[in-house]
Amino acid sequence: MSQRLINSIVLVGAATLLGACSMSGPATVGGEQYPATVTNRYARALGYMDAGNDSRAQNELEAFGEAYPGYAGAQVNLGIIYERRGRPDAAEAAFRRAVSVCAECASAYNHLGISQRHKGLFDEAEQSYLLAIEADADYSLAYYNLGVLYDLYRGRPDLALQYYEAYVEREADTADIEDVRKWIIDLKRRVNAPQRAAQSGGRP
Amino acid sequence: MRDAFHAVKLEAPLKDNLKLKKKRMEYALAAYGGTADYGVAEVTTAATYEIADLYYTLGQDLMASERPKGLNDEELDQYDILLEEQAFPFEEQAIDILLSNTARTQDGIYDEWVRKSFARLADLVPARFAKSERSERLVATID
Repeated sequence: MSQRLINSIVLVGAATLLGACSMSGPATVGGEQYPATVTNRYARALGYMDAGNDSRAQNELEAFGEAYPGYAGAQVNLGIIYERRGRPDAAEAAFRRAVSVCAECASAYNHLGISQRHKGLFDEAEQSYLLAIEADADYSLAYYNLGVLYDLYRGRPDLALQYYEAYVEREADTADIEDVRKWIIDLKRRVNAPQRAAQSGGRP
Repeated sequence: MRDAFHAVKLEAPLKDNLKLKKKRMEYALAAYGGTADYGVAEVTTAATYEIADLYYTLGQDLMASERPKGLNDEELDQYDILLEEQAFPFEEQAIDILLSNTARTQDGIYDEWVRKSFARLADLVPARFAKSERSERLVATID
């Protein structure tokens, strides 16, 4: 289990317990010590976010980000909220802050890539997804999103096929994986169609 | 011209109204075709989208057109099949034109009309176009 995943589980647990209690003293998350004030504040913000209270979560995360600019998670979550609230420029800036303090945060690069794709910055989005994979080769969402990028926006069905296949390799048990398998079948047909036409001299 | 095209309802007398609608479509297509030649990207993408919309609308209106009175169930089924055969090529045409707009992303063009083209294609060809990026709803990691 990765360090980041352990951190996630502990913090989601902390967020769930909000209202009932708060941590006191330094909290150990994934073998790393964080001051309890930091984890409590962050867990509180996540609790609001998880409950759908984006306005309150945004306030908490903005305050948290000012107090602790070195923590990427808060910036990613701020970016997610800004996107949801129709502030794409603020979202992209938050994701950029996240990757500037955490070059290993695959999720931050993935969110940045999506934000860039929404703006039509396709080259930048591609780079961000690739950096997500570089940060964590098992981060499946970046493979999926690269597939979508090449499939719909770059006119590269051959590359889309590769990345969808890589996604399926990593997420074979996901509930909606059958959709992606169907896309793969369709892409194989589209990729092979010009080759078959060339081999037959253009005759069907 | 677009409004004039939309204003024609495909109801009895269907033959006359269809003829009128197609005529008005030709005028609108000619007008949009002219603007598409301006060479301004946003004008071109808008005109392309509107042209596709004309074909799409004609197909939809055909399918929703008033049925002749006095047909029994079997005749009505056959009439619907004939209508589908008439409408289908217009939808196909709309899809091809929308595809020409979405292909502009490969030249870095991604304006309002290209976005609308993607959205329309997601409705018309969901298996190929109803795809959107995935990410976490929230990130629980602190660092």
